[in-house]
Amino acid sequence: MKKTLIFAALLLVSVSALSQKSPVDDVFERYSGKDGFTTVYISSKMFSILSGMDSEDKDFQNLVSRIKTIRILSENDSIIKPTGFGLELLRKLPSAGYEDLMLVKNESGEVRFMILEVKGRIAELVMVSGGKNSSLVSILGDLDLKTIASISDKTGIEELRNLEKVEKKPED
Amino acid sequence: MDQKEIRKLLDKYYDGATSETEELFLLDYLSGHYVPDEFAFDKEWFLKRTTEIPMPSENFNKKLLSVTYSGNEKRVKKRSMAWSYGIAAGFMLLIAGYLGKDYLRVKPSYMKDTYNDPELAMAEVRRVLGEVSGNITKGTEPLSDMRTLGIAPAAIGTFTRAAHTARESLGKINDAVVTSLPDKHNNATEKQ
Repeated sequence: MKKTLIFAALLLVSVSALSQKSPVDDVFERYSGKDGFTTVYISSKMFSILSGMDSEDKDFQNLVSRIKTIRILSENDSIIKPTGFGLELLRKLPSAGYEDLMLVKNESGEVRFMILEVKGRIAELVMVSGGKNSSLVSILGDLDLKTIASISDKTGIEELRNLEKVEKKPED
Repeated sequence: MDQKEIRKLLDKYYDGATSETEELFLLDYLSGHYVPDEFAFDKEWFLKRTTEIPMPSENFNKKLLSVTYSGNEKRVKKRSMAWSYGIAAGFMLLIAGYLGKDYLRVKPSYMKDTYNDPELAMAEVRRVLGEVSGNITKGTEPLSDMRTLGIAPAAIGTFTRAAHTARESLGKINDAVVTSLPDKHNNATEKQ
């Protein structure tokens, strides 16, 4: 009887550990649909439609086909008391395996990029903006620096090509 | 005690309600010399009942043990089998839980497409990617300056080499001028 109870407890612990949510999922679940927040969700199904759409820009289509989902959560200007979920999230992300990619400071606040790597590939790119209102962008897919760099190519920001140079080792 | 009372006591005995004293009394009475015919059957039964129970044979205990032992073994086997099945079932549940966790998890309400129109969705994707890349660009701008700085040492090296060559050339010119000056001076003296 005692052994059965121990076994059942171990089983429960294992199952609960397996079904643990990531901090990003947790933030989305907590704040989406609440007053003062805007949520945008583009599913993998929609991305499969988008990647199948006719476009002259084959590279952009290739990029779209590598993205699984995009989730956006932002605090509206109308919100009286900002929650500061961005800071809360940034505290939790490192313990969940997310790594810092870069921090950009500008007049409107800070923008932090974090990535989640799986088998050497970037599985998730998270952009957290601070300032007056927090916003969170999560891009899931099979991403790498070149893919991210190609985003700028397709959106008219040529300077981002520098990232491609960063990845390459300098030739001696 | 008259026969009626003996009959009552016997009935009580057959009902299993007699005490040990009463039973001894009945035994004593029925094994006596004079027992009425009325109790002949009871006497026969009662006296037979009291005969000694034969002792079990030597092999009886062995046989009994062998039977009971094999029964225990089967029970132990059954129990260990039950444990194995339990553990196997547990692992199956664990694997099923792991594989099916995405299906078992109830999808949150926000996980519904915001846009039903692919054109609108595409426009939003472009906007978001633009915003993300715009912010990344701000972060990577200093990298281009770093690249410029990376070129600088090479340029400085080239400049140093050029300066060195120039200095060597100037030295040669200087030497040539110095060697040619006394000859000119001598020639001038001779003319005078």
